[in-house]
Amino acid sequence: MAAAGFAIFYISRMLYMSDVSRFFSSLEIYNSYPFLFDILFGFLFNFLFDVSFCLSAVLFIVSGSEACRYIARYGIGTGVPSVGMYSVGIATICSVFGFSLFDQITGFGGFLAGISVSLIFGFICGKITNKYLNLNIPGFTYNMTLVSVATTASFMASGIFLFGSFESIIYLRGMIMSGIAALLFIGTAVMVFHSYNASLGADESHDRTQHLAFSNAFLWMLLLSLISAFFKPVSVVLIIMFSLILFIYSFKKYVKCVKRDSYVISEPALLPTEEELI
Amino acid sequence: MIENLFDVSTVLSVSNVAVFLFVLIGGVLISLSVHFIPIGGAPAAMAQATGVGTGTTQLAAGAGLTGLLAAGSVSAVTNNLYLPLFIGSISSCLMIAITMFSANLVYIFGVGCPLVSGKRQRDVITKDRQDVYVSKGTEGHGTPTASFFSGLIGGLIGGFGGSLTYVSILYLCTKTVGISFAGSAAFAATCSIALFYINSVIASYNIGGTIEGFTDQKFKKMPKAIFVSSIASAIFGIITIATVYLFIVPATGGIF
Repeated sequence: MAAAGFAIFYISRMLYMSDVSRFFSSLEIYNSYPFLFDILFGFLFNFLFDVSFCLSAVLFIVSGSEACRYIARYGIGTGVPSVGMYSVGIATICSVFGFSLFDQITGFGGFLAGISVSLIFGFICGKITNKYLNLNIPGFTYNMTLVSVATTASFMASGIFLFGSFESIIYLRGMIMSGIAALLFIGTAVMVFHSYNASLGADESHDRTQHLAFSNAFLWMLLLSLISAFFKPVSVVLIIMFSLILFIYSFKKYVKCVKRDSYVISEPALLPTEEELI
Repeated sequence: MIENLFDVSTVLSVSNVAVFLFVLIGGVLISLSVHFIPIGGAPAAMAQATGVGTGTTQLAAGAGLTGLLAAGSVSAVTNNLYLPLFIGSISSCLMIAITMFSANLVYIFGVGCPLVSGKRQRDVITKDRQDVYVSKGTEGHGTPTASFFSGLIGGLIGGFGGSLTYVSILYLCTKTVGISFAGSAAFAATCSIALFYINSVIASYNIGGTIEGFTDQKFKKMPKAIFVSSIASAIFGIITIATVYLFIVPATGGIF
């Protein structure tokens, strides 16, 4: 059911990207609708069942990379990864806080608590950074809040997908003590900042970056499902197949965008044979 | 279990306030240390600016995590609270020194350029003339003596800040709350790494990506970064202590 819903969402999102965002950018309204769309659907998927946490992690990664693109487009001089690292610093402590509340508030309440703490922390950090360090980027606070919320949410959703439980002690023992937390931190951060870091430049186009973000997120989903085979070997094969198909599909779309935007595509010649070298 | 959340006298005891202050000081020291480290960014990777050719976050986190690792290993074998601090700062300093030295070897023997900075006519420490050696169109190359010395100071301060955070959270978990060493070490390391990332990026935004050490003009912008990182570290400290009291005490009863 979640898979069908996600497929419908992905197709509608593609349609949305093509027409509606062009409409809003032609009106020069501050374009925040895609993020809201993503976050809303991420929450909806969280209600469905265990596997859907993986899908919601995908959506949160995509919305985080959108906000990351917005900030880094102004040229802050420190490189795109700094945005991802800032957000992962916030996300680490906030998600540990969220995992802490699983026992006291019922499961999804802990998830919401982690997200709300990261909302406050990200907002204050973004506000003071933009104001006192003289960055003066319009919309910096909003987007920094969004990046930290999206990173926290994708991190927590990945954790819930891996362990499939709402008990704090499992996350403490299985994730933080075993060191899987380090993989999740760095993996989520790289997936958030990579798409714009890889395709920035004078000819950067929005849909190409977004397709790369989608393919990154599906790759992350594939990795997560491969890791989760060690924890709960039941019903993992289906998720692996599903994420592999989605990854290949979105990566093909990305390659199509690259070919569309490139100036010229020249096929490389074969390596020279020994006779030609003499 | 829920009454533990609102037990003010437990949470606001002297040792918890001390841990909060140490986390705050540790965060500020990390932010301060980044201003000392000669960071060249992408231009330095092409030998067009002074410093080591990589970004702030990677360099500071690389040196800082080495310090954390050393502090963690030392605190596993001793009960002394001061030894991990000094071992952490020294190993952080050593790591940054090795990084700068090996980068200098590449600049001298690989790229083939002298180690100079274009911002001062003479080096602050050795008093050698350096402006005539700067290639046209660049701001300097490599890590000259003043920047190298500055980087050593930065490594010492940053390692000390990171180890201070680690040791204080470890103390909070093991001594005050009473959790096993392995669990509290993992929790403290996670928190310290997060604090390291946040504060190194704040400093990085303040200096705009590149700095040459204390001889640079951008070094005077330091108070702003200290203000911002003190606020961020204060919120971080509150969340950390809240997590320890909300998470580990009621959920596990101190057994983990």
